[in-house]
Amino acid sequence: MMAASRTSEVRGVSCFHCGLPVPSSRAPSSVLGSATRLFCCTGCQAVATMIFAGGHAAYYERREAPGQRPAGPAGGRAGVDDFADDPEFQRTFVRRVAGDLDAILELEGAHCSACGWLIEKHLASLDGVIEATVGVATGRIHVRWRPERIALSSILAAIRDVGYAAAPHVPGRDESRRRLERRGSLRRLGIAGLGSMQVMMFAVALYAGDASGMEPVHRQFLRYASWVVTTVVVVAAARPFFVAAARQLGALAPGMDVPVALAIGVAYLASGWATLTGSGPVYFESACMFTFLLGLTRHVEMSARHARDARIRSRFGTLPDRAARLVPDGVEWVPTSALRPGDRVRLEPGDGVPADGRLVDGGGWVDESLLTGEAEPRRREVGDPLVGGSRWLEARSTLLVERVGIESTAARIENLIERAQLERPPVQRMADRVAVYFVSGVLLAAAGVFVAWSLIAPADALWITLSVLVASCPCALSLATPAALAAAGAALAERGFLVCRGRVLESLDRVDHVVFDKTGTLTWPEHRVTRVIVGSDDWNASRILGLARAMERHSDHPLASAFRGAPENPDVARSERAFVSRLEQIETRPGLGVEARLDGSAVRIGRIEGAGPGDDRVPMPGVRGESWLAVSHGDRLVGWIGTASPVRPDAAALIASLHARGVATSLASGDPSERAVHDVARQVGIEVWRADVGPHEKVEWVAALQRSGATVAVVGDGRNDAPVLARADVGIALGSGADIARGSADAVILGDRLGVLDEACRHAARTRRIIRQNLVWAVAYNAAVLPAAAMGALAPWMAALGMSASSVLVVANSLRLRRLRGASPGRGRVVAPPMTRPVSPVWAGP
Amino acid sequence: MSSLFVLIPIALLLLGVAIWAFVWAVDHAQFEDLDDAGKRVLFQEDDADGPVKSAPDPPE
Repeated sequence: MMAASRTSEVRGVSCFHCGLPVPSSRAPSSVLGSATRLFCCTGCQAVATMIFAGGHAAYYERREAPGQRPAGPAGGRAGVDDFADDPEFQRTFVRRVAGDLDAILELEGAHCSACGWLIEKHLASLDGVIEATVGVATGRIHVRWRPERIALSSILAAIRDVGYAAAPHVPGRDESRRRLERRGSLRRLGIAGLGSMQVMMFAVALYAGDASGMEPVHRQFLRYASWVVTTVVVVAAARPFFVAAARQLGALAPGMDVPVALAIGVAYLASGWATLTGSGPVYFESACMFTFLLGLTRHVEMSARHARDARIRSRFGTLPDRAARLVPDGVEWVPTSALRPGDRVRLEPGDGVPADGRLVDGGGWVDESLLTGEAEPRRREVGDPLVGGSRWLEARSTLLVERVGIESTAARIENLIERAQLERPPVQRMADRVAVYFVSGVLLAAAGVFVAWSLIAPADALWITLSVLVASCPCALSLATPAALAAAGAALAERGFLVCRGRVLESLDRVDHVVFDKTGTLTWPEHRVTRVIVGSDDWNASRILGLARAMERHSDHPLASAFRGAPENPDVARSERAFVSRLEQIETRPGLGVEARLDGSAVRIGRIEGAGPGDDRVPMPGVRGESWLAVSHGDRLVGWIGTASPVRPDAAALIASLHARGVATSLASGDPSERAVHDVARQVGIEVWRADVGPHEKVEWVAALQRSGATVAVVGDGRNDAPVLARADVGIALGSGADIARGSADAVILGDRLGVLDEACRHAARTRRIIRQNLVWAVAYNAAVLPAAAMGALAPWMAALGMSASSVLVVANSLRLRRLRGASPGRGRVVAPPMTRPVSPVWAGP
Repeated sequence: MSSLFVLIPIALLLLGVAIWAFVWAVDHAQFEDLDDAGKRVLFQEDDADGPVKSAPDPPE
């Protein structure tokens, strides 16, 4: 049953599965669950059909965000499936457990628990799968299967069938380190918490005894019991404080940990002494509570930091998982991680380059667009260098591996990211410096108080000094900034805006000017077919497109991306299948196009430099910033295919929103076509634009703006914009997936929502306000409480309570940043309003 | 009140057990993912009704 063909009615309809707009003509549709559903492409239709057929229709009711548009048959990480079953490869990530195989996979595209449920149910229905568990928050699938009944590649394919992508998970160093850190902190927290509860109960009994009288032997017994438990707590849970304090004292830069360690230590030792000698009050519960509460705030801060760091999956995603190493009697396949300098690797057309090195045999073309952003393939001869992660286009050659592991380009960039994460923003560094002076002052004051009180009333001197130490500890001061930044960072990460450097939130608020890149930033990175012009009577648009898709299936040229993905029209799909079986000798000529033989005669699709549809047999309809591909059969030109990368639907709204807040914008693109750049600038509302801008000129543009006093943010696709992103005050990269050049960006927009940048700016303003509130409170509290403690008016337990409450208050205030104000539900995927320009091909022909 | 001399050691023993159990849970990944397990329960009650079969259009 076809959908209504009235154009005005169908425009504005979204795909049932992924939410993108449905093309106006001949949209695929199915009756599913007793209603007609419309889809944007046959891929979404296939996925939805599969989901209903499996009985998982409830997924559509429960999911919190639209699904992901599946990549077509020739797209996606098809390469992984090929050797997922290879035993050599499986050794890196598969375990054998009692005859079954067990592995952890990384999952892409799942945003809510309904997605996880769907995948679990679907995998469980496969014969041979024993168990499948999905952790949506962590992005992991844990699967166990019987190798004789089902192969891993089938499991991966099944996950793709319901619209997601999975890849083997090889844990990195980071992740193990984070897990150990998290577990250690949790263990200490648990011990401190349980111990504190016990000691506090003893303390209640002791206080009651002080009030209404208690036998000395009972009192002593309770005290010894408290001492035992407190020893456990201090030794097991308070150690990090002592270690850090010792380090800080050794470096003569007393930080926040020094008063904390002193307070806990002095409380513990003095109470122990009082227990032994049977005189004076004990404050075991203060020591325990102090350990627990401070450990708690640190744990919360660490969790937020980990949540942010875990999202940056900068694993070497562009490196292939295995390589063909040359050995004396042929070729052996080894995991890429097993390569060593000096190995020779065979490169076939289409392979990913597995490591840095140089060409020693053969020659051909390489696509470094993932690293440099240049779409045009580059020529490489014997002796030229190759970078791991680029893609080798043709022809068969030999690579001599030179750098692997730590020294490779990919690893160095990952290192940059890691290092950046450890950086502390200026605000925090200033707070740390202040803390040093503050703490030194407090230590001096405490010493002074001790001396003074020793002369006046020696018995009280120790306790009063303890109160002073505890009360004046600038814990809240040092927590003020990191707690807020951690909360804000985690909230933004959930919305798809990843803060990689501390200075981002601070600077975003002050940005006056944003410079945008064009391809991949304001527009989708993939090209789409915009128009088909038919120039011959025995061809129609569907046939031309089908031929193009069949020929460009294996081409790696960026323009070929217009022919990937499931076709929107079933006619095109049918035509494509027919051509695939008839085409022979498909050859890709970089820079020229694709050639093949169809029933004896030559067919060609390619760019004719400098020409648009101007052939005198085909009238020119007017060029709108598109790239044109000429299709010829034999020696006849049969038609033109126009491709362009469409503007992202939320780009215009973002520009408008920035302008409304008084932020200026400009567009600097490396695309040499002025018409194309002007077109995009007009569509999104940017008035200042320039085409044909090289990386150095972009840097100069930003530098000039900065010299005039502006704070500049740059939004680019991270690949070739590395120098500009580094130069900007805030460099923001776009790019989901594994894009290793993201290391130069200060922040990354995951997913496809540009609008999240605006949310980030607003949130940055709010973060600044809250940090200021925190600092004011922390300083005021310390200033107020210090004199009271010095006078002897504050018992140590009151001081401990106040200290902890102050820290908790600061953290709680920071947690207000955990939610974005006015945020709309649904993250990651754009649910696009109808686009102002139709994306579907306009059929110009029979 | 001399029962104190028995009860306090018992309390300490229980505390030891509690700490051991907590550490065991942490070491066995019980605290890794706190959200999905809860939501999974919500979905399970619907599955008890059996899968919903509908008649999809055969794709072209």
